[in-house]
Amino acid sequence: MSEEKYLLEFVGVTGTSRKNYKLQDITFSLPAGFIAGIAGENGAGKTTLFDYIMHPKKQYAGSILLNGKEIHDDYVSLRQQIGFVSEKNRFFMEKSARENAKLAACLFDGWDSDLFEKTMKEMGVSLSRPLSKLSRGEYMKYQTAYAMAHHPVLYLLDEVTAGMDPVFRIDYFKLLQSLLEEENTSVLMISHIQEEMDRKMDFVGVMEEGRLVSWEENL
Amino acid sequence: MGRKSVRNVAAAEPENLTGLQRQKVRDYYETLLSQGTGALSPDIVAYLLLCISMILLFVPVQELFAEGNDSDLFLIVWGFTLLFTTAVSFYMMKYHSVTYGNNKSETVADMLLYMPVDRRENRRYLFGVLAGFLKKTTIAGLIMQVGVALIAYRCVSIWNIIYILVLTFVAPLVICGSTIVLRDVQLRR
Repeated sequence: MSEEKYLLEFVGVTGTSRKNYKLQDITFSLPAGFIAGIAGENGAGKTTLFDYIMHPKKQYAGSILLNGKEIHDDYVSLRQQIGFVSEKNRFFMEKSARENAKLAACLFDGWDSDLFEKTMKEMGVSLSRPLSKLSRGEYMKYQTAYAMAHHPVLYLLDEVTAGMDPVFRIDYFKLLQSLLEEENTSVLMISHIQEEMDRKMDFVGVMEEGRLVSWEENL
Repeated sequence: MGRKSVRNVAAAEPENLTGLQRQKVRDYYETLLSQGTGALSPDIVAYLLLCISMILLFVPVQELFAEGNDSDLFLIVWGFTLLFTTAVSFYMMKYHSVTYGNNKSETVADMLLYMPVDRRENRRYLFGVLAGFLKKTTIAGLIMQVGVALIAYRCVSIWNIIYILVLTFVAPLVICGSTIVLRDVQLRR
């Protein structure tokens, strides 16, 4: 175990499944209170990296640590600490945001319905429309409010800003910044937008063919 | 620190945490069913098939196990057992099948993939629902079978009991229960 305390650590993570796309020897550390970006071409393994954290049955060698604990040894309680925003996330698309939130309240400890509804209203997303009727940008905003409502320590954002207008993108990063400062969370974000990588991220990682070829502090 | 592909199961959870997980899963399904799963109600089909398969109860069990009986009777019994199992599957469908955007169908287990849910508790809950439903139908079946045997033969044999237990409890529990496990195993990647 490393001496410095990190929120998220990947230590030599290599996929062992025969079927699926594999990561190869991924090692990086993300301290609390920082925002990190992962870049790379399509198919480089960025979303797969998130899948290794989020999928309860992913098979790999190495360690994925959240607050020093192996993430999949107690997936249920550690999942409570992760806010996941991605197209791969699963919701009842024919139900409204409010109905989906009601279901989430059964599973997440400390689910904050007031915060969820307040964030949704601030972002201007309908609580009563079925999720299938939301635009991609609205859907991502909904997912962000959903992730915030259970007060995670780590946010995993998979190309969240891709469908958002530039004005809202600025507000979105302000929102993330306030989360970093007030709740001492960290954000790991996949993005194809170069400007975001250059100006908004504290750490930047680049992936190629399942490998993390660089992980550097963005000075 | 190294970790093999086959995951080590975490140390046994304290009992209260398991109870909490159980309660969460129960609340989740109750909320989901109160909102409606979006699929066509399979209950009507389930009860219709169940009624038809009740013919099982009128099979003369004493003759079925008598020497030199007509083997076609076994086929008829097996056919209606499958029908009964199909009825149970339809009943369980509301716990499995949900409409997931663009009329695509997903299982609830799929929907719970990235949720903080103990998958064992999810399976245990579904088995509980299945066993509860089968218990009711089996008790009703036993009463009917014993009644029919008494009226027709004025005696009840152990085969009347075994017949009902195997065909309306054990067989559907094994067949429908294995689908619960299989749906979960399919998520392994």
